[in-house]
Amino acid sequence: MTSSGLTITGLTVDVPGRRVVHGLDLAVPAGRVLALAGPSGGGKTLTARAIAGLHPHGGTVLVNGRPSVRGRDVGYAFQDALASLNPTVTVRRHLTETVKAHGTGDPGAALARFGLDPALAAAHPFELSGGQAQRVALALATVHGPPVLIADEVTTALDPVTQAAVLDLVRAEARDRAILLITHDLAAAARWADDIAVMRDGRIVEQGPADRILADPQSDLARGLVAAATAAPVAAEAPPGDGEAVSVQGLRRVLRSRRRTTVALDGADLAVRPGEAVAIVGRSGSGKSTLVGALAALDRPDAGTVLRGGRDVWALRDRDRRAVRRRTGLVFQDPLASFDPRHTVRQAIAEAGPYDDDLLRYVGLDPAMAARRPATLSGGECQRVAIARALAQKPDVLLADEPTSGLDVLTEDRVLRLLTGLRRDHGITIALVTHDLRVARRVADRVVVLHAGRIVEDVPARALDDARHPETRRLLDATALTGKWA
Amino acid sequence: MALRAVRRLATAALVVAALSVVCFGLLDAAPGDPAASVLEARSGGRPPSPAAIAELRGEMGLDDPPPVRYWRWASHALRGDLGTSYMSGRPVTETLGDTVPWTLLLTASAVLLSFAAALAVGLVAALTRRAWLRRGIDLLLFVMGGMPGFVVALLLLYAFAAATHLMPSGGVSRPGEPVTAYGLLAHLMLPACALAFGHHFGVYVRLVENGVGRLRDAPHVQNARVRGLPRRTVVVRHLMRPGLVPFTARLGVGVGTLVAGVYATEVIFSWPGMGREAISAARAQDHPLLIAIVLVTGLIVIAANLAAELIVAALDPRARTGRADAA
Repeated sequence: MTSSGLTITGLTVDVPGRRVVHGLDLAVPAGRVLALAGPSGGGKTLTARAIAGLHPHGGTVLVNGRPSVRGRDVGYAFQDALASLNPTVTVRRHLTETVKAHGTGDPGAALARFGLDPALAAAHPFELSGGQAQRVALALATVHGPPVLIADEVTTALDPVTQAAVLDLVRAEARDRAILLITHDLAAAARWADDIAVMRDGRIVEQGPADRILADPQSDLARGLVAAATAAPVAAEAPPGDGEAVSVQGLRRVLRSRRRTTVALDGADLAVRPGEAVAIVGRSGSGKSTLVGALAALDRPDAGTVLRGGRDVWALRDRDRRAVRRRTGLVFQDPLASFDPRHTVRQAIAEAGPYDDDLLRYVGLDPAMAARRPATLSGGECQRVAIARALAQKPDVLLADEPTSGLDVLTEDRVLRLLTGLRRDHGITIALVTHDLRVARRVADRVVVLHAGRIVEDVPARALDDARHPETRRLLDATALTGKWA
Repeated sequence: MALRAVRRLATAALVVAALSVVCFGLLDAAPGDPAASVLEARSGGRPPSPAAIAELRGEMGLDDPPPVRYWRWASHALRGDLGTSYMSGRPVTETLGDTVPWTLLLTASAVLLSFAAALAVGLVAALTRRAWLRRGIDLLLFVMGGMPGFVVALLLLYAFAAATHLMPSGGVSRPGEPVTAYGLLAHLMLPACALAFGHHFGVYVRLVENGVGRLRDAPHVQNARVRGLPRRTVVVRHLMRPGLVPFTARLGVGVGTLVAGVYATEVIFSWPGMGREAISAARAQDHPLLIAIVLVTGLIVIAANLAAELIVAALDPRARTGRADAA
């Protein structure tokens, strides 16, 4: 019996001291896309790496009925595309060395298939944007025409418009090859895959056609993933107060580096009422993070005013401005990087305000964790410690910059519920930056869309689907599952 | 690129000029009187009379204010005339012509030896999976790290010359014989090793080891492996090329350290270079010769730094555009 595509039987993967993948069976016929979905730490990436030959494994991996040959049969696109390219050599060199090693392939055509200008071959990786880097990595993984392509969380770091474009191209690659799409996002899996396999603790829990899994999930895990991908708003119903907790008017900020100047904010206006939750949405480079810096009174704008409780923060004395900053909680995209690695959880929190076991309990963590260091925590635990730290300084405003983009959907769900609880229990005003409209819809009362340094849309979250501005439409169209599940 | 090169050369010229001013000022401020030294040397050690000293100071122009003297020296130097030695009366350029080539030969040999060995040992340390080998290298570097260059020199002398007579102990040829290529190589061996394997050697090994070892499991190296590239390409292009940038960037400074060690090494091995000359010139307060030697040393260091910068730019395109982040 010869079967085309990828056939895996009894795959086991060990890391020192324990078995992580327990006898996996998977088949991806040529021409189809299988999404391997599940929470972080479930063994998805190790499975993919084992199939690609990067990690020793038990069981058999067959490509078109024959044992897989590393490099020739399986193309692998990494999660962090930029880091997967050698910074010191050009895109062309990357492509040609693969072609040379396997004696087949056309670099220019590979770039063109992923919608890139062949002239980009002369560029070095650090000259590429995030989306370009991901396309280059995919072109590189497929330039020699491997029968199998593995795309490992290739779009996690991309904004929804770029994500949709990249996944469409991956999908197009399935014409003549088997594609394994690793993702924690069931919504993305549903939109771009034919079949879905849900995986946890090194085992496949449920497997079937994408439509069926979404419409009628059988396992608890699949049900949880579907719910998290499609969940209704968790926003608190408490009406926001009157006045303005924080607002900016006519904000302009130009970022100057040695090589270029970028207008990050170009006349942005935004007012957030006390107790309100506002989501700031936009593509990469739209000025979201710069706006957070301005709202936090950390980054001084070139023009325009930042008001906190009606007072211009840059007209305050330094110590009053520091007091404003103390009342501003900050939660970052990469929680691990925002902690001093030598501090324990307790020390990290105590730096912001008096430590109390109740802080950890409130964010759903065991107070016994206080003695641990951030590096020993999972991503979701880390982010909850970051929220506990922000709470310790008794803020009236919490600024969260992409707080869930590195988390799997189940963990994301927990963190979003926690943020909503903060408004309900403490009346904290929240400004949340995200590139994910689903996140925005779930926690925010109001969604503002940032485009080229300006606020182009400002609508209540429940009226998001009726938004008119073309940029909002683009984001909505690109977001997996909108309309169908919201 | 061309603009950058011009800017670098202009900076280098400024550094040389500043070096000459600082050196001139320091020698001027140093205690002692060159005229007295010269007279003492001429008379065989008898203290000269104050009148004789004053007369000679006038002849040597030492009584003029320092800026005037510096200007006189600098305007001659720009025309290629570095003055005459107080002690020997020979033009300084002649002395340099006799000695600098020997120093360059010794330094260049030591630089090549030191960096090639550091590269080899560092790569082995970074890539081997044999724990005993890595531990052996650690121990070796630990011991070497505690040994200044002159101790290495004395140990080498004892082991290879005094105790075993395997190697000549000094000079560039056997006494009374002409210099031959083979003889020179034999005479060069010990001083070059002494200079190359001082306590600084471990720093370069570590730079190679860390630079390359850090990248061993980097995503782009894994990507190179998963694409089925030949092992040679993976190691040379994807591991070594980006991994050696920190090491290369330090080469300029490294040459400076080696040149600083050349003075003592030349004395120990009776090497006829400018280092030996420098030490006698310093004792005798022979200012023209001393300044010239300091400037030559400075030029060597500057040239080495420029060379290192060029190599880094060739290895790492980020350095070409002034983006040195994330190296």
